[in-house]
Amino acid sequence: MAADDVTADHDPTYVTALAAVLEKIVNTALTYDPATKVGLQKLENHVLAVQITEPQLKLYFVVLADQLDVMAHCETPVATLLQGSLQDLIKLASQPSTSLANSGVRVEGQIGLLSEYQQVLSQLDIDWEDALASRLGDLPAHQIAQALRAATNWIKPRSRKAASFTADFLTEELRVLPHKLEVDQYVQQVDQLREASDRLEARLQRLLLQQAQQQQ
Amino acid sequence: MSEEKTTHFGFEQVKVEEKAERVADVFHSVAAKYDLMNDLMSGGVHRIWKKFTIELSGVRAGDTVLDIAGGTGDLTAKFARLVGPKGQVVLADINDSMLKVGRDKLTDKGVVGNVHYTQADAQYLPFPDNSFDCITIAFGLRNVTDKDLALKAMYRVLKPGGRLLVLEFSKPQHALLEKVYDTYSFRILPFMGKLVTNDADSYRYLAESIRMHPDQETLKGMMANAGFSETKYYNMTGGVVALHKGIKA
Ligand SMILES: C[S@@+](CC[C@H](N)C(=O)[O-])C[C@H]1O[C@@H](n2cnc3c(N)ncnc32)[C@H](O)[C@@H]1O
Repeated sequence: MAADDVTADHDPTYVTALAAVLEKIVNTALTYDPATKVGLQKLENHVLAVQITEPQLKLYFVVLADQLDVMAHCETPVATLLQGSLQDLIKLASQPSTSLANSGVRVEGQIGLLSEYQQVLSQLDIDWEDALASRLGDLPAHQIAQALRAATNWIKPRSRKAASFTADFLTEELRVLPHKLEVDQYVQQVDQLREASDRLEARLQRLLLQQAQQQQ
Repeated sequence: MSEEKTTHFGFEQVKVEEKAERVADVFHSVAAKYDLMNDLMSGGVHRIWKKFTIELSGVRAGDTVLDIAGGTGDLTAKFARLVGPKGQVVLADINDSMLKVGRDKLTDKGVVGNVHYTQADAQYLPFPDNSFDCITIAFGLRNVTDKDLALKAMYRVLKPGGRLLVLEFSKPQHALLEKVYDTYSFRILPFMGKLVTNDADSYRYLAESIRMHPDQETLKGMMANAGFSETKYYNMTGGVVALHKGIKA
């Protein structure tokens, strides 16, 4: 399908910029979840298009050579198309009991691709702390990760028994944070380690000082 | 072009034989800081323009791609990933300083194995007919002395069904934007060039060469003249840049 989304008199700069930002976020996140990254490889070359009707916006997702590409324009035929208003897509994502039939979201093409995405993404386990810490240092990373988790909590499914796998797919995709318990435990361990190493350093300093005094 | 065979170098008229040399001086001079200046000058937006170029190229695994005037290899790096180990990307540039910066950069990034480097002039491409699935020339065509000759050369080395993508500065579509842009490119650009590379002249040339470059419709016509079909273009960032596409039928 020659894409008709970006016509010659439509400035593609903005949608492309949005695609670039999304692509960057997703792929940075994926480097912190190598297992999912490997799992994604079996979806290679299948283009998933998401068309938001209000506001008008169409983005393409495809797994290619070790990365998820997000695009404003795609020359490869689309395997699966999801179409709906932003509101409906979010609603479907946030209320897993909504069935696809009355969600206002339309699916076209290869529906199996969605369940495959779902399968891979349901195992998504991104270590946000780790991801952020390598950029920001431990402490702010922990706080930001907690804020991120709080902010995305409302979107998590209340029931694990989702009515349709599409809803599941969307919610699972958005369930990207590790459990609070895991994070707290991790931070505790880091703190313990830091205290232990502080003590060790202090002892070393003392020993070195003693040694220096003895030599005088 | 006038009788005594002169051409423009920015706003200056120079002898045809001289232009290539003068262009070469510009890029020898800016090669080392080229990437940095690109980000500064465009506020990073050149990455978006290039991303869209890649999306429109439709390049796939196994393809053979020529990135002519490829300079420091931004497009080549992306193509190398798309064509995979069975494909091939040729990064070609007339200027060995730019080519060297490009080769070092890509090697450092681990982009190796399916990339080849060739010093070549876009007007006289040293490749057999029907060699490439896709050719890109990004911010390069305006530096070429005889653009029609270059377009014909690219047509020749493309495979039937292959496509050419020309990414180049163009004519802003609104009078106000054009004015802002003019101020920017004639006053601010050379100033930034002076600060970063201590070379205002090269960036003055850049601004002038952008102004002298054919506008959207003219370039589209030139591509059709060279033999390309289904020619079209996309204005980006209000026409500051245009991406032209043509197919060798
Ligand atoms: C502004 S740079 C663009 C580099 C790269 N394509 C990019 O987008 O970042 C222009 C390049 O065109 C090259 N160039 C100029 N005249 C050329 C010609 N006749 N044939 C091939 N390359 C040429 C220059 O050496 C320079 O590297």
